Amino acid sequence: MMKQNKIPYCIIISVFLLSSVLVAYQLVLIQTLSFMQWHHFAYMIISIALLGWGAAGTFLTLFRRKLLAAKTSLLPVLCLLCCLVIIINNYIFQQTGIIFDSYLLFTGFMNFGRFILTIIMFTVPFFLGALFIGINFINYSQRIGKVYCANLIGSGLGCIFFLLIAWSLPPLQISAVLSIITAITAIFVSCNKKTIITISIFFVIASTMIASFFTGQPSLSEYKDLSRTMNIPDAKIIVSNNSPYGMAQVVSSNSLRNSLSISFRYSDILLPCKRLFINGNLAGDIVQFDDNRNLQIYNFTSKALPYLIRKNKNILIINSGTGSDIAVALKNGTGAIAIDGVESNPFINNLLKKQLGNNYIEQGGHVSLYTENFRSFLNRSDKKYDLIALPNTNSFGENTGLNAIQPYYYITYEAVNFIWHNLTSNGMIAINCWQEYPPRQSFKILSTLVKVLRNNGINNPSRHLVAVKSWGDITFVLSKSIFSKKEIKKVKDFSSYLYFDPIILPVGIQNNDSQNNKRADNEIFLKGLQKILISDKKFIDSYPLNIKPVTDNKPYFSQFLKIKFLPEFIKLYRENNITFMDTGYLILLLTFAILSMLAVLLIILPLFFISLKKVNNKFMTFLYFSGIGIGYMFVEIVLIHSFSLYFSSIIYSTALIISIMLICSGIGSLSTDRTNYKIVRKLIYLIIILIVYGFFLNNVLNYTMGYQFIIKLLISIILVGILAYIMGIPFPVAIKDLSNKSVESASWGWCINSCFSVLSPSLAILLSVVLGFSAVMYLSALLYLIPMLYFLYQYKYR
Amino acid sequence: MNNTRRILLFIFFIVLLATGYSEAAFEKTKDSIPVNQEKVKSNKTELQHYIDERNNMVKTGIFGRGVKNIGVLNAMKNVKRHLFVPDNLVYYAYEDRPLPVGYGQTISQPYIVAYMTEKLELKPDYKVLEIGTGSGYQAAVLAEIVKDVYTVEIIPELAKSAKEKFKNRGYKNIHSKTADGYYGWEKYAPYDAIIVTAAAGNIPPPLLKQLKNGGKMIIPVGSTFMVQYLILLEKIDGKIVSDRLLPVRFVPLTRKN
Repeated sequence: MMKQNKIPYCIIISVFLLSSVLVAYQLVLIQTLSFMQWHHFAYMIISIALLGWGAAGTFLTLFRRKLLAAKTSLLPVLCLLCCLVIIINNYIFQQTGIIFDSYLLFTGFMNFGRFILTIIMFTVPFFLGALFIGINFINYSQRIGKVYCANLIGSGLGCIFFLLIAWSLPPLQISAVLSIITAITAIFVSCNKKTIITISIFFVIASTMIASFFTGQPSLSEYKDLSRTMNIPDAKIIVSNNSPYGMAQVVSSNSLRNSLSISFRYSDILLPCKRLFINGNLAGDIVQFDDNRNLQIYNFTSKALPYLIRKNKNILIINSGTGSDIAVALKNGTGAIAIDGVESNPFINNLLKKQLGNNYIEQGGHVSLYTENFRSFLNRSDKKYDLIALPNTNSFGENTGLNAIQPYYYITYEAVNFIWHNLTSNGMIAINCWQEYPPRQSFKILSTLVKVLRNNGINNPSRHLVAVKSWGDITFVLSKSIFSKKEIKKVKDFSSYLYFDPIILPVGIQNNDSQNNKRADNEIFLKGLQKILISDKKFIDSYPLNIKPVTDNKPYFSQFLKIKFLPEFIKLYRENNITFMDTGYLILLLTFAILSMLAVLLIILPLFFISLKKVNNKFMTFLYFSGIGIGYMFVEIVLIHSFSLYFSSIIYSTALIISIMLICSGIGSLSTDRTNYKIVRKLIYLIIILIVYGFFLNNVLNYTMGYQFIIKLLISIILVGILAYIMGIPFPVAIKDLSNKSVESASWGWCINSCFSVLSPSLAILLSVVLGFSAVMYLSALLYLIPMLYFLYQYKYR
Repeated sequence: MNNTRRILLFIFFIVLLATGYSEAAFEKTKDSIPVNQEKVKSNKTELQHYIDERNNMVKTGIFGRGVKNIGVLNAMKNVKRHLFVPDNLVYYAYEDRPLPVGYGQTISQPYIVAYMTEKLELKPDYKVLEIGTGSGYQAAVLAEIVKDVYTVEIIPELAKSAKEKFKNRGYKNIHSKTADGYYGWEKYAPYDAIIVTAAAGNIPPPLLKQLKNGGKMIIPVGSTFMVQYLILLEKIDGKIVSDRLLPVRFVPLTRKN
C-alpha cells in the first residue's frame, strides 16, 4: 500500500488528463448531437455525465475494499476500457439506425429502445473515468486536496482544449484524440508495472490512432435538410468547415433553387444556387451577387415591402447569413444606402464576403459586414437606423416543434425593444415568417411587436403596423412613426402588383383589397390578427397554442404547446394527419423520466444492499442533499442558457460555465471544512445573489454585451465564480460531518446528491419553459435555504 | 460475502426484468407480422384479399375522410397499390401511410393521393402533367381518370422502374421521361392540370407557364419529412391565385397505429 503522505506524480497527471477528457467528451457529445439531431441536448449530456459519476460513486461504495485492493492493475484497465468505449461510440456514431433519432422517438418501441441505449452508451465512459478518479480520491483521501485540484484544473482545461481544437477538427476526430489521451493516461498509471501492460497500452494507442484515422462524419438523421438534399442525384458537398458554431457545409446541385416565396408575377427561370447547411439544417441559399439575373428575384418577394414604403438610408440586417436580406436591400433600396450586416458565425460571414466580392464592399462602402452578436453590435454602436431587418423565424415550411426548447433570442420582447431604441424617429423594423396552420408563429410575432409598441407609449399599435402575405410567407413592418395615407396606398399597390394580400393596414382590411392567396382558415386568421392588435387578453389566453410574446426569460419562440392541452395534443399526435407537434418538449419530458429512472436504478437502489440502518436521520439527509443537488444544477443550467446569448454559442457558454463552476466550486469546497457561522453568512449571501440574479442578470449581460471578449470573460468569471465558490461549500462540509458519524450516512448523502443532480438539468429546462429562467433561479435560492437553515441549526444548538 | 450475494441477486433481477422486457417487445413485433401474413394466406385468394383491402381503404380512409368524387374513388379502387410498393412493404400497401420507395422518396399515403387528385377537378379529356413520378402510383391513378398523363422524374432509377410498371400494367396513356421536373415538359404543354408530388421549396414559374388558362395546379411546399402545405393554384385570365389547403405530414414507417 502506498504511503498516504506521498502521491506519485503519475497519479496526479493521470487524474488531470482523465478529468480533461471527461469534460471535453461532454462537449464532443453535445456537438455531435447538434449535428445528428435538431437540438444540442446539452442538458441531457450534463445529466448523463453526472449519472456516470453517481453510478461510479455507488459502485465505489459497494466494492470499496475490493477495488482498492486491485487498484494497481485496475487503474490502467479502467483507462483502457474508457478509451475503448470512446472508440466504439465513435464507430456507432457513424452507423445509421443505432443512435436514437429525435424525430422518430414517439413512433415506435424500437426508437424508444434506441434512446435508452444511447443514454447508456454515453454513460459508460463517464462511469469508467469517474471510477478511476474516485479510486484515487479514496486511496489518497488524506491528501485529497492535490487529487481534487488536479481533477478541477483538468476539467477546466478540458473545456478550453475543446474550444481550441473545435476550430480545426470535427467532433468525432476530437473524440479520437480524447481516446488517445485516455490511452496515454493508462501509461501514466502503469509506468512501474509489468512490460505486458505497457505493450498492451501501446497496442491500444496504435489501434486508437488507426481508429482516429478512419473516423468520418457522424451519421446524420435521414430527416434533416442536408440528408434530403443529398438525395438529389448531382448534389455534392463542396465546402466543409468545423467550428464551435457547428459544422458548416455548402452543397451544390443543378436542381437546387432559391426557396423564397416569390411572387407569381415573376416568370423567369430560377437559376441553380448553392445552399449552406449548419449542423445539417438549412441555413440559407447562397446569393450570387455577381449575377444580376439571379438578383432580380429579390424584387418579387414580400420582404421588399419596407423598401417600397420609404427611402431607407441606413439599414441593418440582423443575421445577414447567406445574404438574401442584403440582396433584397440592394435590389429595392433607392439612392445612396449604407447596409450593415451582423452575423455571429465567422464562417458564414466570410462566405458572404466572398460572394459579395468587391462590387458592394468597396464601391461607395455600400455593405459592411460585422462578425458578432447583433445585440453586442447595437450595444456599442451609436448609429441610428432607418430600417432594421430581423431574420426569418423558421426554416422553410416547418420545424415541427423539434426546436421547441431551442432558445431564440432574436424576436424576444427585449430584443425588439432594444432594436426600437436604435431606430431613427421614422425608422422601421421588418420581420418575415412562413405561414403555418394553425397560425402560431405569425401570431406570436405580432403579439411581441404589439407589446413593444404599447410599452413605448403607443396606445393604438394598428397605426404603426402593416403586413402582407404572399402564397407562402408574411412580412410584418413596424414603424416608429404613424404610416401616412400615401404610404398605406403604396402597401396596397405593392400587394396588388405582386399578387400579395395586405393583412394588416392602419385603415383596416377593405373588401376591395386584393385577396390573391386564400387560406383554409382565412377568416380565423384575419380575426386573430385583429384581436392581437387590440391586445385581446381573452383571445390570447384561450387560444389553444401559446402565442404570448417571447421574452429573454422564456426565449422559446418555437414552444407553442400549452400544458393543459397536452392530453389533446398526444391524442392528435397518434393520428396520421396531425398538423403540428411540439415534440421538443415531449422529448424533454421523456429524457427527464428516463434519466430519473436510471438515476434511481443505478445510484440509489444498489445502496439498499448495504445496511442503511446505520444511516442517521435519513429524511434530513435526503432533504439536504437533494436540495443542494437540484439547486446547484438549476443555477448551472440557467447560467449556461443566459450566457449562450452573451457568447453567441451554446458550446462556448457550456464550456465556460462548466469550467468556471467546477474550478470555483472546488476552491469553495477547499476553503472550509467545518461548520461555523461563516458558512451561514456565505449561504445568506448566496441566496441574496441568486434572487438578485433572477431579477437583474439579463440586464447586466445585455448592458455589457458590447464589450470585448476578454472583458466579457472576466465579467463571466466574476458573476459565475462568486456563486460557484459559495455553492461549492455545503456539499463537502456535510459529507465530512456525515463521515464522522458513519460511512453509510456519507454514502447515502453522496448518492442522493448525485441522483438529484442527474435529473435536475432536464427539470430546469422543463420549469424554464413554463415559468422562465428567473423563476428557476428563485427556486434554487429557495433550495439553498435548506443548507442555510441546517448550518444555522448546527451552529446554534450543537 | 453477504453483500456480494445480494448484489448478484440484484443483477439477476435486473437481467430478468430486461429479458422480460425484450421478450415482450419481440412478442409484440411478432404479433403484428403474422396477422398480415395470415390475411394473405387465408381461405380467400390473394387477389380477393387485395381487392378487399383496397375497398376497405377507399371506404374508410378516403371516402370516410371526405373525398366524394366518383371518378377519383373508382380510380383508387382500380389501381393495385400493392404493385407499386417495394416487395418488403407489400403488407402495408393499403394502410393509410406513405411508404419509402428508395432514393429518399416515398409513395404518398392513399388519402393524400385521392385528395390532391380530387382538388384538380379532372375531366376525361384532360391532359395532365405530373412532376415526381416516384413509384408511379399517382400517375396510374390519374391515368384511370384522364386521357393523357405526362410524368417527369429526376431520379433515373425510379423513372426506369416506374416506366416498366406502366408497361407491364398496360398503361398506354402514361408518358414518362427522366428530367428535372422544375422545367416541366414543354413539348406537350399547355396542360389542363399539373400535379407536383415531390415537395418543392418554391413554385416553379415554368410550370405556371405550362398551365392552361383556367387550369389548376396542386403542389406541396415545405420540408419533405416535416409539414408540407398543399397549395392549389388556378390560372384565371393569365393571373395566378392560390389557395392554401390542409397541411400534410410524412408519417414514419415504424409508427404503430
